[in-house]
Amino acid sequence: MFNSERLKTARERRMLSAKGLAERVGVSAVTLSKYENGHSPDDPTVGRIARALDYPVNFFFRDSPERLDTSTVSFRSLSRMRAKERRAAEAAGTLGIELYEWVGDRFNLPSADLIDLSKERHRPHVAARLLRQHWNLGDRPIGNVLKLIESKGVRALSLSEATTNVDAYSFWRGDHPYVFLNQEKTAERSIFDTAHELGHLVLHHHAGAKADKEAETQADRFASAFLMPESDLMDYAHLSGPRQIIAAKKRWKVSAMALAYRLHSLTYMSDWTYRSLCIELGKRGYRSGEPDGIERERSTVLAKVLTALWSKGLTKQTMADDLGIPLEEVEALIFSLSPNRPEPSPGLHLVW
Amino acid sequence: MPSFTTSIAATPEAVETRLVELFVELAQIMAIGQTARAYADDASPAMPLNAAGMLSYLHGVGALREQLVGPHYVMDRACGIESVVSRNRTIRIGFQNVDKCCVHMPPLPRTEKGSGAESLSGPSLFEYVGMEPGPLTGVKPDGILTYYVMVGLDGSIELSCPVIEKGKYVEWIERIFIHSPEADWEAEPVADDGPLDDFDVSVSFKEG
Repeated sequence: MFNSERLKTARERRMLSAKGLAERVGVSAVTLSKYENGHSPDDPTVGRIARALDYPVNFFFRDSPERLDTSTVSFRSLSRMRAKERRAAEAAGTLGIELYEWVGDRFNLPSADLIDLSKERHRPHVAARLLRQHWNLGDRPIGNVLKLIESKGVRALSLSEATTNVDAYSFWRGDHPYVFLNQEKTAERSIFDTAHELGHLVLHHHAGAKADKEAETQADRFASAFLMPESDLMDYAHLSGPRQIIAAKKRWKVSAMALAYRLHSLTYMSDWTYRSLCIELGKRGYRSGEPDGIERERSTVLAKVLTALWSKGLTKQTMADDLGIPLEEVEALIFSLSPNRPEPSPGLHLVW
Repeated sequence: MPSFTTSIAATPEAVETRLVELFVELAQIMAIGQTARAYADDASPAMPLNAAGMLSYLHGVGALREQLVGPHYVMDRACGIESVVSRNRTIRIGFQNVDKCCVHMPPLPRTEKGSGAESLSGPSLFEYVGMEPGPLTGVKPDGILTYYVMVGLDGSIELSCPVIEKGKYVEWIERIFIHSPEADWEAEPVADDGPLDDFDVSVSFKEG
């Protein structure tokens, strides 16, 4: 039976209005609205809808998707986001949950090991310290934040939204914390986003989502303190020039601006020095990007899953077919990873 | 000169038997050791160099009392040794940081032991060979055997009763091996302040 929820999900993924899709399908907006509200289209129309949205026909006949409760989702940059961008990102979340449930049905995955720090939401630096203690991290920098949170059971997926307005978002689904990260950002920014979403997961979601500016500021402060513990940064309190900042930032895998902000917020840097530094870093291109950037972090869980599937002759296409979604959607969600295929034996050659 | 015969409990059965006799449980000693290690790991670079050992000691002693004070043990501070003592006053248990536990070579203390620890350990070598050494330190022993939950730098744990002289362990009356990490460990780990990225991400196919 045709599933109207799936039609809506696919349309939102393609960032089309109901009217825009209706024109592509060759029906009236009213008719399309009926399809999205429970009326089943005939087979030729379903075919036209599938072609217009570039989704497999069988996608529209699967069970209702697990639509996100949007009130429980924390977006990184809500204010800049347009409604259709938000809906497209949320629809990606819907597909991401299905994908991870597909994986979870077949694989043993790390269990969630996060603690409820909502009581410390007004002291994000304390929350960051407590989480580091809980995970026995001490004050050392974290070489791979995505790998760390995955080892603690956070389910990380990627977003390939062609907009810089959608950074990242997170939510709890049952016992499973989810984080979605846009891959359009610099690697350093993405790492900060990861820590920011981790902040939301421990500070806000247990107490219900608070998609307000204060919650965003708290998550930012959590991320800053979690990535750059004061005790570790103390050795670098003398940093002041742009060259020093650019050289030092690699230790914490953060942007030059984030390091400068942290040093300033800890009063290791005067207002005047901070302002001058921001201007100088901006001139060097560090406001909009991260010249000489680091390698992007990718999902360790999904890389292992793909490699394990490959060993059984299964591929991303298998995943896409099972889920009834286009391969490109799967790739967009899994950080465009490819399985680590075993190296061919040197004694073997392809014979044409 | 006769040598000490150290009683070593290394097999799970022997350890279990001895712990029952001492009115403690394996899980309690494990919890003490793990708490101490967790706090040692929490020492930050901004703290003094001995912070890891201090934190381990402070929280190790705290955990020792949280775990053991109850029907069989009460708090004790004889001769300045922060410990617990059995209600029938036959066994005392303290806490000490050592280099490594549960291997053939006995642990080395990480700090010089004081006169209190020396007095409460016994018998001394003099007493063992039947000599009357007289008061060595001005602190009198009370005849209660003093064991220590010893926690190694690698997280290894043993519950042992050493003879302490001149600030060092010179002999061992008994060693009970509690926990030995699987990882190889040969030398004192160098203080590392580089980035952490060795996180265990376990993924495996489900059975069936």
